[in-house]
Amino acid sequence: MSPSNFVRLARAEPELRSTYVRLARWARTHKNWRWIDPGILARDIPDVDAISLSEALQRAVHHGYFRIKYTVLTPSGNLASESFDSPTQIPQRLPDRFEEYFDTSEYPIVAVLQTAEQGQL
Amino acid sequence: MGKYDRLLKLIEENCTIEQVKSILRPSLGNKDVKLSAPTHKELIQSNLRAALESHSLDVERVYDLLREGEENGPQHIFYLRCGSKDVQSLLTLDYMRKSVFGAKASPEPCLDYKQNGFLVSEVRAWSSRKPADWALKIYGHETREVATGEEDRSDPARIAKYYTIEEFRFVLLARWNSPDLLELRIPATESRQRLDSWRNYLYGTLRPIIPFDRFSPWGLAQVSRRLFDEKDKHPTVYSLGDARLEDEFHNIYSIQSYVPDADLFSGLAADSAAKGVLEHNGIQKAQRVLWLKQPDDGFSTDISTLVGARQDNEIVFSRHQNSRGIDYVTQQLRSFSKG
Repeated sequence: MSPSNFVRLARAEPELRSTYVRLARWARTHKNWRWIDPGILARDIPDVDAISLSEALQRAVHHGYFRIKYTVLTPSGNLASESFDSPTQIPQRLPDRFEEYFDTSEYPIVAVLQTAEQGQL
Repeated sequence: MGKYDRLLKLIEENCTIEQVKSILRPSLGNKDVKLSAPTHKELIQSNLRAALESHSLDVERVYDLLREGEENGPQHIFYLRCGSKDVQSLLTLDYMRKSVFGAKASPEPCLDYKQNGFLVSEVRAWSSRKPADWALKIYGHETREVATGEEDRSDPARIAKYYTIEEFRFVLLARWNSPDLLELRIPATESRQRLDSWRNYLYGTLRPIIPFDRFSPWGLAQVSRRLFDEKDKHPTVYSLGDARLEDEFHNIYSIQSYVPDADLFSGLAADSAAKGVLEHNGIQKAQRVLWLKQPDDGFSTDISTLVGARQDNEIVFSRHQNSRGIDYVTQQLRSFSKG
């Protein structure tokens, strides 16, 4: 997760500048995360109001910095390694991080943002 | 059935448009070689077929494409090592071919399969880069009953649930990685029991030919430990993720990142927790290693592996790779096991 993407977005979307600046600061401590779980992000930056955060992430997707994908939580509570374009594509069973399969219907679906190759600003 | 029908059907099932175009492209300009086609199916059934039938494309290149497509999916590799020079020199390609097929071994792979059974497809040289290496490939086939989720409750006294019958074809592979390593490669599957039975089948096929009493499992715990200790020295080679650790009292500790394939131990908390266990005679039972892409070595996406998994000599490749990527990982494991 490159903080510079959020810096670019701050320039392109001045009305959301303060939210992107905060996101850039968050990204500096999560550089090796390739996915964003918006729920976790909102918990990490409670000082940003939810509507601004939602708008900022939607704009980031619109500009091509992220793709929306879907996955499930594993029995351990972290995100499964595979992601899908639609919740309906999630298979009945998936491997957890230690390659043990679990029944996905028993665990919550999570929409995540994945870093795209490059944005379009 | 036409000469290339089965080969092209398998290409259709296992290879992408880009892969097919990549073997057609160098033959452009030859008779009947075209790249454009409206669909994946037509590219294979029309363009690729025409290139083969006009001899503009060597069929061996198409076999190689099929091997690349169907042998490198998510899989488990079990490593066995042999220190005996006698055995090492016995296990030549010629010896394996004659032992499996007798004197009349066909130079072309057998693409047939046996319904709900196994069939040896080929014993072949692995690559020109390592002439002493070979692979023995087996096609397996299963029919599976898969629940559709559809139910009929029209009779109040009983519920009818519907299943479809699906055909499933897979590849078992034994790869001799000279000078001393035998790899048993088994496709990933949801069922551990099925995985074990496939591995046992492959092992059973090789047992009359290979003296397994001279082999021992190549345990990877020491390699995992070295990868952990040296993780800051090789930032362009790999990063480490989820780990399952065991201390001297056999207590199990699991450390996992929230998002997959994150560099877990760059965080101080995870790093000191793992060090705490390892420095008290702990071992890594399983260690996720993300091998960073190396375009110069023939793979341009990161490779996610679980070293250790359930057995100490087992590694799991979680996603589809290319064969050079898989070989690169084994080579790295070898390097980190030395010195």
